Order: sequence, then structure tokens, then C-alpha cells
Amino acid sequence: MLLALLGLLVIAYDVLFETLARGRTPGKRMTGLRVVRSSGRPVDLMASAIRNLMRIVDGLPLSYLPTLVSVLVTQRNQRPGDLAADTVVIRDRRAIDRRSRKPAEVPARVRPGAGAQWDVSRVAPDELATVLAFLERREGLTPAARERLAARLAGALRPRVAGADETDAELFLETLYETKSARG
Amino acid sequence: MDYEDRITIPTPEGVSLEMTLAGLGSRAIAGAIDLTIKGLLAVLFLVVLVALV
Repeated sequence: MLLALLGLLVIAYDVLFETLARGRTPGKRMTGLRVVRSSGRPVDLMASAIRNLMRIVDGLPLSYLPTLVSVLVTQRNQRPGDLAADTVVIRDRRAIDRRSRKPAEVPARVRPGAGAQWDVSRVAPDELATVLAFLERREGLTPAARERLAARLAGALRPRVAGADETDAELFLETLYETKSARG
Repeated sequence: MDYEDRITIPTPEGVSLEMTLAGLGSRAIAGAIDLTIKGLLAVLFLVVLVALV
């Protein structure tokens, strides 16, 4: 009787937090995790109840091994309770954003007269517009995407600019933009 | 190098939703924190019960 009450208390803890705190128990909140249904929707009472009732099977100290194996082996890192309730545990988006929001790099400055010797006449206005679009958007891109785009743009335009001596992709694009727009 | 497990969920609106799956380590830590709190709650429950009876 007492054991049943304690069991109920433990399950109620998980179910109440998961349904009322949008999939996050205090432990998950501290580690930046969240339970969602595999459709991406928030867990409802039913899914959370199934998920946590399964703890009777897969959450007891003696049965940690099957749970561990289940998380490692399943495609979506699911424990038996997750499989039964069709839920997944994800890294919380806000926690991820906070982690990946690195301090923005200080935009490289174009030295005055850096492109003075460049022949930019073979760069078309619409190409210049593409360069500008990149320069405006680059702070909002992930570092990997930013680098990839800069390299692609610079790689396509560098052969068209005679006398281009700037090896850094972004600095090349900045210098190209400054030079071309200054000459009209 | 991307070594995170991701799942992509197609939505009816045609926008796919990308989520990063939690790994074993962070789940174990979360479970340990929750287990500690549950333990404290259970002790509190028993103390209250003993005090009442």
C-alpha cells in the first residue's frame, strides 16, 4: 500500500511536469532536454502517462541495462517507454540556440584603396546585388554556411576580376563591393 | 563535422521540422537529477505521513 503510494508519487512527478511544463521535468530543464511526441507536437497526458508508467518496467535500478541498450540501439534514442508512447527526447531548441550563438565576428575592414588596381568591369550588377545580399545576411548565418557561401561566391567572381590580390573570401567580396559600387 | 543525431519531421505545411535528439549522457544526468528530487519528495512524504499517524 505504502509502496504503491510512493510509486504513484514518483510517476505523478514525471507526468505532471511533462504535461504542465511542456515536456520538461526539472532534470530535463537543467540539462536542456524536452520530451515531445515523434510528430514534434508537445506530449499530452496520455503519452506522458504511458511513457512514465513504463518506468515500472524500464526505470528500476536493476533494469538500467535494457534501458541503456534501448537508447543506444534505437534510431531515435528511445527507451522502451518512449517506444510505447511514441515520444522522443530532444535537445531543447532554445538551449541549442544559446549554445550555437557564438559572438559575431567583427566584420573585416576594407583597407582604403585596396581594390584600386582591380578591374571590376566584368562583374554584372546582378552579381553585385548577390554579393550585397550575402554581406547583409552573413551575420545571421551559421559559421559553416557563411564560410561555404563566401567561398562559392568568391570562387565564382575572383576569376572575373583582373588584378584581384585578396585571398580571404569575405574580404575579397567586401573589397569587390566597395570598389564596384564606388565606380558606379 | 556534424556528429549529432537529428530527426527531420515533415509537416503538412511542407516545412520540415528538424530536431536534435538527446544523447545518453544528458539523459542520464537529467534522470539522476529527477531521481534525487523524487527521493527527497518520497522522504518528505514519509516524514509527513509519520508525523500525522
